[in-house]
This record gives sequence, C-alpha cells and structure tokens, in this order.
Amino acid sequence: MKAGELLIAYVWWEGQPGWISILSSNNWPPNTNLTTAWKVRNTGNEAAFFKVRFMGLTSAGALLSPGGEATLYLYPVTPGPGTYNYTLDIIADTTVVRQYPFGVFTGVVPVPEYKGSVTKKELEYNESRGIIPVSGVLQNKRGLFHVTARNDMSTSQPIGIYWFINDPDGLIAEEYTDWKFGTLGPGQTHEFIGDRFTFSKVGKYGTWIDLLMGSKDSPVVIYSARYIGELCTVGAPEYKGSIARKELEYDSVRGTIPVY
Amino acid sequence: MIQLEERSPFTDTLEAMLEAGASVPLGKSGLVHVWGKNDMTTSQVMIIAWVVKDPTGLTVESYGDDAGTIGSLQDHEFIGGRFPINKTGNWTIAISLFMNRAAPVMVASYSGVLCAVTEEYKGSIFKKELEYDSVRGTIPVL
Repeated sequence: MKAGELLIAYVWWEGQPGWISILSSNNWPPNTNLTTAWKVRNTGNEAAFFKVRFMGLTSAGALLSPGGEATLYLYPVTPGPGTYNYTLDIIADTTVVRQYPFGVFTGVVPVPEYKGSVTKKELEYNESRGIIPVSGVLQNKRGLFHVTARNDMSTSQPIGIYWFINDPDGLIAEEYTDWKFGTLGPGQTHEFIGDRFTFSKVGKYGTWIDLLMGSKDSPVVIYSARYIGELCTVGAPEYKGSIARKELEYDSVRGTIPVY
Repeated sequence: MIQLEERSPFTDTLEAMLEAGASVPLGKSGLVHVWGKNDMTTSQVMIIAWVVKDPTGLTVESYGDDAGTIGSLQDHEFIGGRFPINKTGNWTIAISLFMNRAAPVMVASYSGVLCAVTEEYKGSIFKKELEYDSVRGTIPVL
C-alpha cells in the first residue's frame, strides 16, 4: 500500500529574514518568487518515488522506503493581489496519496508607518558649535556636522542618516551616511557625527539631510524630517600683517631702509 | 588691512640725499633684512617677496620665502642674498608681505628707495711749493 504524509512546510522570499511556516491560511506578497520546502514521509509499506505538486508545479522525486523522509522543493511565483485556494498533492510514483488544502492571500504587504524626526542640526567650527544655519565661519577652517535624530514610534526601530554638504559652487564638500548600531528605542534620540571637512571657499554652504528608518538594506526616507537648506556662510578672514622693520646691511654697517 | 608705504625714488633727489649726509658707499655688498609681523589673533602663514633694482632699473635681487606659520603678534626675520652695490644713484626695493598660502593675500608692502649710493671721492695734497726766481721752497716758505 502506498501512503504518505506532510510533516512540515516552509516558505521564503527575498527580503524575509528567515523561513516562514506554511499554514492552512497564509499571507504572501503578490507577484513574488517563492522558495517552498515540503518535508514528507512514506507512511506506506512499500518503497516509492515521492513528489509534491503545488500551484501547478511538480517537484523532483525522492525514493523513499517505508518510514523514509525527504524534503522536496518547489519555486512558485505568487499571483497578483487576491485570495486563492491551493492544494498540495503528495504523489507516490504516479498516485496522489494525500492532499492538503492551503489558502493564500496575496494582498499588499503592509508597510509600517515609520515616524521619526531630526531634532537638532549643529555645525562645529572655529572651536565653537552652533545651530544651523550659522554665520561667521572662516575660510580654510574645519567643520564637523552633528545631526540628532529621534524615533517617534512606539516600537524600537533601526535608524539611519544621510546627508551631503555642498560648497558655494554646488560641489560636494562632504557626503555621509550611517546607521545606528542596533535599534533606537521609542522616543529616544541618537546623535550622528560626520567627518571633518574644510571650508575652502567663501560663500554659502548648503546641506541635504534625510532621516532613514526601516532597514539598511531597504531604507525608508522620512520625508517629514527632510532638510534642504543653508548650512552656513563662510567668510574670508581679515588678514592683518605688517612689515615691522627693514634694514640694509652693507659690510659691517646696518641701516634702516631707505638708507641715505 | 594692507599697509602700503610708497616713496618714489624720484622725489628724493641725489642732491637732497647728499645734503642729508650719509649714503651707502660704492663698492660695498648689500644684504636686505625684513621683519614681517602677524598682527592677527590667530597663527598665520607668512610669505615674503621682494625685488631690488639698481639705479638703471636692472633687477639685482629677486627674493621670496615662506616662513611657515607664525604665531599671533609674532614677527619673523627674512634675510635675502648678498648683491654688489656697484652703481651710484638710487637703488629701489619693492617688498610684499602675504598671508594665506592657498590664496595669498597681500597684507603689507613697501615700494621705494632702498639706498642712495654715492662715490666716495678720495684725494690729498701731498706737496705744495713756491718757486721764486730759481728757488723753490715748500709752502709755507718762511
């Protein structure tokens, strides 16, 4: 007698951190390549080639002795949004020996509404620190940008930052991106500190800041926290120097120029 | 602020200079010393350049040096190279002091007379005689 049973089944698709159990009712993303794994057992009293069939696909076969187990893989693609009923067939040689019904809902995967804000933007320059936009920055001095971000959600979240600083000619003076290690608790803040750069030109420097949430691999820009605007105004220092003394030495005599 | 000091070599005539007294004797060798001072509250790089010309307008020394970073209110002595003072007349110098190496800014300058050179006339009356009839005697003939 040929007989078989399903022991366990898993599914995975790109972006998932790990395997997910296949249940009688499932919520999968639409139009997505899946990897499914089906562990079956020969519960009959004779050896047979076992296969599984699901969503119109049939797996490769595995020869199982009575009591033997094998994991069989299928790679279906989910259909567009909707509710679907599928059946898993366990096939021993050419006979369907067991069927399992599965419901699949392929709605749009809900994306959490990320909420965060940039609470402070400070520029460190000339041995001082000021809220941007700042003025009085001297040419050829070094700058260091500090941006403080807050998680405005009720759950801990990964949080990241991106910014660039442009010089008065529109060229990039600094481009920076970073993610806080681990996650940031609800209502907590994190200060991102960039790299030092030089204010080599006179004029207005600008910056573009984006707060990032979600994950490093799939960041979500928090548009409400975006800042595009002035960073600082850089001026040339007023150089002051003088010729304090000038002398002409001729043989052993020295006289103040002009020597008459 | 640039400190500009201008003195035309032509406003000081040689005669006027001679009237004033001392001048540099012909035949000496010259060496220019200039002290640049950082008048700012921060350290700054100071750079100097000068050109010395003889009375005919020929450049006899063209000098430049970067002193590196000079502390606030500190000065630095720049010393040029030796050159022969071999012509009489007004020798001139144009000095420029700069800061900010990346985009030099002139902060002080001098353009004018370096020195007035005169020939040092030297001679002596080594003998004086009075001849009367066929007799000659050293003055005073007593």
